[in-house]
Amino acid sequence: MYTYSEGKEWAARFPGCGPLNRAMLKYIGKRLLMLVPVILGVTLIIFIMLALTPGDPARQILGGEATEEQVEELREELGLNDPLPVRYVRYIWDMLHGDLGTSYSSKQPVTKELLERFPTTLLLSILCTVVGAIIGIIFGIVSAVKQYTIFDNVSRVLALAGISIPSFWLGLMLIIVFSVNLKWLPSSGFYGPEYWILPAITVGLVQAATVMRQTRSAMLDVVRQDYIRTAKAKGQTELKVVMGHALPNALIPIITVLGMQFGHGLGGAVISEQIFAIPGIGKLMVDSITARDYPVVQGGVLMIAISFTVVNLLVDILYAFIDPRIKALYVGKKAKSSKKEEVKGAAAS
Amino acid sequence: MKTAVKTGGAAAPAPAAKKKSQFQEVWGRFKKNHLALFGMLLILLMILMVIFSPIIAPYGFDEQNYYEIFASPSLQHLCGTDNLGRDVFSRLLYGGRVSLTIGIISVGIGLLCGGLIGALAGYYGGKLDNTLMRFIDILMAIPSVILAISICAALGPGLVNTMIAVGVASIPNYARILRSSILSIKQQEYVEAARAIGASNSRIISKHIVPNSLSGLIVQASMGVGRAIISAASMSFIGLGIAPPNPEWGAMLSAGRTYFRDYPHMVLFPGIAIFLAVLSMNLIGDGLRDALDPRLKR
Repeated sequence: MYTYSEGKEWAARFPGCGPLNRAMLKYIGKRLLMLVPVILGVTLIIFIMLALTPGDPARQILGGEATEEQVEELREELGLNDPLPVRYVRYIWDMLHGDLGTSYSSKQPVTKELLERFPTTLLLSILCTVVGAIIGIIFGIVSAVKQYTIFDNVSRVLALAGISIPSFWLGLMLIIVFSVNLKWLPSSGFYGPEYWILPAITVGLVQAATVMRQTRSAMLDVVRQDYIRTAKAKGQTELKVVMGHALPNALIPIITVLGMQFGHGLGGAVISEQIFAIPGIGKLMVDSITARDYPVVQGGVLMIAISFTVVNLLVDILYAFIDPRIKALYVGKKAKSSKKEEVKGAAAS
Repeated sequence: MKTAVKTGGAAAPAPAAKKKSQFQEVWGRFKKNHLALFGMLLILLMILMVIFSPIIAPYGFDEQNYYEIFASPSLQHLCGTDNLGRDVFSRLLYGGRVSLTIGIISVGIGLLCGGLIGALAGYYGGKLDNTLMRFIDILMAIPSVILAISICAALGPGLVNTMIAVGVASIPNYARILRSSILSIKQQEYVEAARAIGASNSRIISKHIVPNSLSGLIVQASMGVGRAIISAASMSFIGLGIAPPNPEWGAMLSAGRTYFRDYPHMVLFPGIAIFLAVLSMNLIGDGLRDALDPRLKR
């Protein structure tokens, strides 16, 4: 581990940033750098896939009545006649300057269109994950604590049903009940909190099922540990044992599944935004696929992929804050390498 | 020598018996799980119904009757009729053929490609592992629904393209599972022993490593069928999978979307069909996981 003098040296060099934080910052920096090849890879895959798509975007834009000359002119203007590698390099170069191209249909910059809609998709994903987390974690904890009781059995069956329900169908059913029959909630749009409820519940319930299963199994692993028995033997209340000892130790798998659910929520927005007519990235992408508006599709996939990767990175960083053992791992690596340097130095001298 | 032959002869049935008993052991544990058994019976029933749909279905899937459009469920039309007067129940039966086929074949595609990538990466390690897994990392960075939709958008709608799209989108999942289990298995002594007696790489992979890492893959594949059915239905729902006149459960839901406020039966029954098929595969997957888990052996 770190020596006292090393710690002091760091504290002096980076006020308010101890050796642990420095190691973590280095790790975060490394992970951010690793994002670059992944993003390049995503752009390459999507670019090739969409470039090979049958159909001519120029013809799509101009419509069936345009002459061959007009189509050819537009192809030249859009750069569609250039070889694929040239187009890809140009795309990446523009992307680095924040330019994802211009939408064929709306003639607006893709970046602007995506950024306008991104907050809606992000808010929707957050709401869905919050609903999923609240229901899933509560049911998971109670199920694990009351294992093999009626509550546990019913929750497990419900969770299994939850992961088997197609969310788009659940959405339609909820619209029939709450919008058409009871007239309690609006069924389309995203203009205020009352519009958020149905989409959030639709996707949130399906997510809750996965979160519940993961929470239950993580909690079951923990509640069998000796320290839980010790805590109980000391006479602590069940609530204190569960919330103070069991849950913090079961949080890693729960956070992992929540992160994954959030990412899937971003992807699943394509479907949920269609059902509830929400003007987010998902709906924009589906409309653009139908209209063969490639720049928008490319930009949409890229934006969702980046968000998904960043969420995964945040989850990884969160691990260190939750679990001191993982924190120690970062420090351990640093300590190991510094020890190596010491040995090298000694050998050199 | 004679004794040796005799001993060999006497010992020969033992592994066979052991093998059989292993299967029986897993089956015995699976059988005890009533929910899993229910799932298996349910999916078998569904498979039989869709296979014999020409006999069971009271009407053809494209038989239109304009006098009976939007009919509610009745004895004549168990699940009602749609906007063209077609019997929803008959379309569900024929549609099941498409949906279940997509589910099974796309998992096959994912399993084959993902399994191959995972096996090569896990067994050979080094640069090959690094290259293949970076490719998988890139695919993993795109949520599977978006990946499937992008592939489907590139290939165009249709049955085969939907299967390919859903299958390719599931490749990263299977590749990672097989790779991680191979990484742990290849350290085992019996693999080292096989290598020591001069077994070739392909023999070690096919005879020792893959059979021992199958359990995780079997569980994932059974649940994967359910996920694939939902993915394919989602794509048809947004108009990218199977084109509407064809009876596929997702396409039926998509077609019913326009009328579902007044005629909910048009979306109710296709949804229930998807739900039951996916539920049964998840029940089987859960049951298999418990049955194959060595920690639960008694």
